[in-house]
Amino acid sequence: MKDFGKLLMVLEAFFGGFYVAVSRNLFVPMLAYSGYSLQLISYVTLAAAVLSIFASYLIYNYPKIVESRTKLKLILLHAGERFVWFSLPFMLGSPNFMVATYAIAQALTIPVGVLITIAMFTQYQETEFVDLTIKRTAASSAASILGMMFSTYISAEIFAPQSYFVAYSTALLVGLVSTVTLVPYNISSEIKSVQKHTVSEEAEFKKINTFVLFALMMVGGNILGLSWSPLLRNLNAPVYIAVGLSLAGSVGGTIGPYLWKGYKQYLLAIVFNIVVTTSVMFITIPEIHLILSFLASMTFLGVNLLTTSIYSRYVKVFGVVKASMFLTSANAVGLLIASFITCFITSEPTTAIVFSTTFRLLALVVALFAIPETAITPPSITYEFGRIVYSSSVLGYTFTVTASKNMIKFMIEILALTFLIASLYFIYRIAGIIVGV
Amino acid sequence: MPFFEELLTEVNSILHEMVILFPKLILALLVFASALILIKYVNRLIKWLVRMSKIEEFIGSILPGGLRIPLSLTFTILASTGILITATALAVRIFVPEYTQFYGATLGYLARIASVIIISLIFVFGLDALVRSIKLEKKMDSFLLMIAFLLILAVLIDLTALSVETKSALDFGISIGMGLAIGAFAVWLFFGEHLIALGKKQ
Repeated sequence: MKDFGKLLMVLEAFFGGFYVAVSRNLFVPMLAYSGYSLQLISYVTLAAAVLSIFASYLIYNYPKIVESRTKLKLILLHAGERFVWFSLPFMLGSPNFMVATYAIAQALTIPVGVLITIAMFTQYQETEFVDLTIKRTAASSAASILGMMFSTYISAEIFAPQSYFVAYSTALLVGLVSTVTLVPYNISSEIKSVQKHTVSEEAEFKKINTFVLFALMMVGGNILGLSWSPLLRNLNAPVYIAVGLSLAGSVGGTIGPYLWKGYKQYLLAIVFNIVVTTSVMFITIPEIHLILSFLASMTFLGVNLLTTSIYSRYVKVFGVVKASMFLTSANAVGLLIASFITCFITSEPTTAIVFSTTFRLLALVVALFAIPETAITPPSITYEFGRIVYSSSVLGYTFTVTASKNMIKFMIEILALTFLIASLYFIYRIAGIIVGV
Repeated sequence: MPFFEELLTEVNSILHEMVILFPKLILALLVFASALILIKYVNRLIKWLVRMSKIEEFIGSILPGGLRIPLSLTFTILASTGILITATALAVRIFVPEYTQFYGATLGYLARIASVIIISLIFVFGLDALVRSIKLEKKMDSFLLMIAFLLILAVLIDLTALSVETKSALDFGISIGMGLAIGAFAVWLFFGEHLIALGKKQ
């Protein structure tokens, strides 16, 4: 029965991988070739990141949203996400609707991701969970190779914008197959939040520090993702090299999960990843960038597996929802910071890659000194360093959340008052027109 | 029977008139019904907006005890009045389009009455807020109330059907009276104790 559940989850990842590859990888080129400027594209991704973080915040603070009727919610949101992504090519004509729809589409991936992780956590723990993650990553990467070949073929054979409609409707149908595979999957209707009332200090440090490590790597990954294609353009590389980056990355992602085993190897993968991604800005032969993309994806899986292993070990302490939330929201945080950097700080690809390397190096420092599983220092020093990382990140988080909360509250109050006065003005203006004053 | 024939013709013409008026009546009723439904939802929206904007809490933090009339009530009255004015104007346009101008003029007069009421309320509640915030003496409180009533009287005169000369004479008299009263009050306030002491000596 458990193997059947694993099979369903792997199938979900396979069909979902195809749908994700087509819908996500075609999105930015679709915008760019439809006349969207780089800044407008950055706004689109920024809005999506903000809404995704808001969705993460909601689920983290109100876990009841996903704890009851989990299966029904998973299937509905899973299918809903696919329909919203399918609607994106229809919004090309109106950028405002595009910003809103893309933000909703990205935000929907948060509850879907959390619910999928919950579905896995409720059935599989620790080594079984890591094993399932490895299998799912490999299946998803293999399907994404097919997805990318499909979208490249469609883009070459059919003129835009028809090609977008064909690609997105195929992605919808394949994506819905992955939804169907979830129907027989066994999830209990009520997920108990198994978080212990008193979480040990060590577990609390580990939860936050692992998230910091994952989020820092995600920032680096997203910055590189946003700036790699412009860098290749500056090197006068042909378009197929830029398109081939994703394909090479997917091939790397298929091999990666089977390459790294154990915490020390995960750490090694992170080190290799930093070396590979830093070399991106020094290598001027475009073809070699395909190999770099392959290696970057292959080594990036080290951090994925590291965080998955830690969270799956501590799922009973953190609670299913919160552990899932940390795993899912790191990408949203990474995308937000990366969008900010590329949108407001630098639009120069080489500088952006320097930022990417800096974030990855910070992640490595956290892994080397603050996480006991990968630390190279004695446990007492690791504990102290972990405490420093924990308190500085929690302090920063608390400050940011408090400041943002007050700011948002004030904005809502001002908006409500403005809307109130505007409504009265509207009523009397209409009255004036009808009375003839 | 000429009377009977005449009666029948009259009844016929009334029925004919009713048939012509019937669609207009339905339309006017529809307008008022929609206005009432709209008022219900707009009032809900306004109450929600006032609650969201936290303007009452803000005023409460400046004025001890807050406003005598809740702001949500003030805003809902304003919005409901606006919607009712619109509905009535629409009904007038449907029923008796020739009275549209008359309705406009009547509304102008009603607006003047409303402005007097609003000014009076501002005087009374403003005074009340002042008394609560700076804790005045009882006598001072009564004196300010008297001044407020005189001011209200002055604006009320504007609404009456008296001649312009009479109105200006009355306003002039009230202004002189108010000036003298304030002067006398100021003398009492600043030199009261001195004057009492002087009186006792003599």
